[in-house]
Amino acid sequence: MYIKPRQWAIFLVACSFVASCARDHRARGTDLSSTEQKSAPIIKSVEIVEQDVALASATSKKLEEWKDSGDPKLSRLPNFDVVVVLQNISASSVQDADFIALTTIDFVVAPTYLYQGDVRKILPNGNWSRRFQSMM
Amino acid sequence: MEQAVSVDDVKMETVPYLKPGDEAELRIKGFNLGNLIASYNGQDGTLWPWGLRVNIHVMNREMSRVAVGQATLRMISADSRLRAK
Repeated sequence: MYIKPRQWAIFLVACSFVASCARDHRARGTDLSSTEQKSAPIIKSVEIVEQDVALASATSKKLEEWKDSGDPKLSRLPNFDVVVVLQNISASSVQDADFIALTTIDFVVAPTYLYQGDVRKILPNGNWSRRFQSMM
Repeated sequence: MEQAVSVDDVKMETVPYLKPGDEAELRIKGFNLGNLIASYNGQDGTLWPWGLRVNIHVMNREMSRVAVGQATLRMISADSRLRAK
């Protein structure tokens, strides 16, 4: 069978195009695998707990409310720790990068006479910040 | 009127490597609010820190936040302080 030079040329161009497409596809596949498999942890829970005095203590008491006694010698807010539970919910074991957890604290500071001292009314209406801001 | 609240609250811990589905408990230790309480301990003072909120920011290497969480502690003033005004 005789193949004309023009047909050879068309065949070679077609082969070259198919090879080029395959290379592109492989390259894109590599890129996708490196971006789609990245993962980051989620925060499942955050708790304020009393600081462990005894290191052997298995459980820590969760703190949700603390009442001041009014006596400067007795009214000491216990030192506390913060316990955070993190989870990797992705299907990938490839972690995006190293992560760090940073803490900050803010407050609602308000007059003692506000809402007759009802903390459950004061907090939803308060300004969480690092400064006292008048709520009236 | 504004009054600044000074508390040593910025702490950092590294997040351990997690396999898919794995959980890890991170304990950030040593918060002490003695100075805060002392600064509002005057018997004739009328301001009180009613609530404390701990914010957790999980950051990546580029310092972009990838997760955030919070916990709140209600702080009840002494009855004697409530009667002060």
